[in-house]
Amino acid sequence: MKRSRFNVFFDYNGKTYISNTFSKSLIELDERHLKVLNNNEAELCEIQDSLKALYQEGILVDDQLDEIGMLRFAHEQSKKGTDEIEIVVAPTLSCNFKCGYCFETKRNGKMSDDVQDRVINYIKEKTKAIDCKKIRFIWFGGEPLLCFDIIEKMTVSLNKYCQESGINIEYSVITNGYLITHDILARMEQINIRHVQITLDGDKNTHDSRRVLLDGSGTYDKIYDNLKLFSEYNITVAIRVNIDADNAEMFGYVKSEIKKLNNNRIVCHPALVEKTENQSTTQKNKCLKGNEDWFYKNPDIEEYYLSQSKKNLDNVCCVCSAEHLDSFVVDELGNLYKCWNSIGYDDQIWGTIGTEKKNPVIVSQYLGRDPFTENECCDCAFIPVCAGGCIYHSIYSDNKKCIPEKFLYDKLIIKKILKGGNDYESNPDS
Amino acid sequence: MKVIQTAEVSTEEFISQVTVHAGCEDGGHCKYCINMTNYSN
Repeated sequence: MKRSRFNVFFDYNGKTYISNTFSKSLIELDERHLKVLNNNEAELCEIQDSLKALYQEGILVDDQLDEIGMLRFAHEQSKKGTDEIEIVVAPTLSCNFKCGYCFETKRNGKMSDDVQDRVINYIKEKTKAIDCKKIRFIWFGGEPLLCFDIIEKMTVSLNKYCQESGINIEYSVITNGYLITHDILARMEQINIRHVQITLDGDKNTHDSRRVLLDGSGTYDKIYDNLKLFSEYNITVAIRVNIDADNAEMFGYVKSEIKKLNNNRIVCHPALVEKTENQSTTQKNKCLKGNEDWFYKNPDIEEYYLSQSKKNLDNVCCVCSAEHLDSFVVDELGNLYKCWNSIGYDDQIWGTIGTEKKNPVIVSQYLGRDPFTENECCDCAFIPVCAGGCIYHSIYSDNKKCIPEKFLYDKLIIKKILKGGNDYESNPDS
Repeated sequence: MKVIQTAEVSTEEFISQVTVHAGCEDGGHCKYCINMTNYSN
């Protein structure tokens, strides 16, 4: 037997623990076990009485087990899975906002009738070829509600096809929320669009200094008023709070303002503003790396991540759709991409709707990636939980951005146990 | 030494339960992008 490479040690409430990020076991250690388990040179026979238990909990593993190889196997299998695909469609890259941190390339124009038909046909051909059972479909932009007529027409067509073909299709819209009306929401509900994501970046002053109309005027009041309309519809809203060095304390504020709406179908989550090439130097300097201690010490942000402990600690045995063979992003011209962060950037085009020709650079970067050969990740005990992290970030960013779970693991694993009904934290000596 | 939480997944279970789909399971994108992931709150 040997020590698992996924073991982590931490102190909590004055005691020392070992946990395995793959098996999620948690063991309180005495000095004798700590001394042996935390020193690769120490002989395991010194804790002979515990070897069986440690093996059962995944702290020790078979000598011959290639733990990284096991994760690589799961990753490769997931890339080729055909049961579900994710499709992201941007009917326009035009936007009524001009946000300082936006990563996208804007351009005028909407998806033509011809491209709409080609996209629908491509989806039909693709799903038939792989016998797909479920589509997760995301309307993206630009601002997609600038052309809701296109969304409505294509959604109706896709609904008909999916119903006839026995495919489960689930729609989301990522919108800035400014153009939401009763009419739009009623029509969304009618065509089975059930999820919307809207961004609020803080209180009125903060939000209005970041998320502005093309003429520079604020958008907070209009968006907040529009959120009230959702109470009459069976549509879930994810409020995304884009956070950089300027507004981390605003997550709690947004959460409290959303609570006032008294609609339990609206929930909030924090997200870090990504540093991108098209941002100003000032904005780039505000972007967080994601490993800042103070960020996770913010009580509201910490509370959010702890509330997600069950899901967030799951092993990643599926891949981001950007790495998935049959998932794709398409813009209004019919250009295909692997990641929605790439949309509108010519050098990141994967291919074009209706042609088989694919860009070898993008294929090699997204579909050929093996995160389990990246030294920094291989040597990290948290790789079962992140599988190497965001692929876009690994290709285009100069710094590795790790997932929050890495920085909150001790608290998350304790919280996960509590959620499972174990009262260990309240009675650690029991 | 005291086992506080037993292993919830073994290597055998893991390789037999590989999920063959993309992204996250509950209506949106994966945890990396943090978009649309929190409907279950």
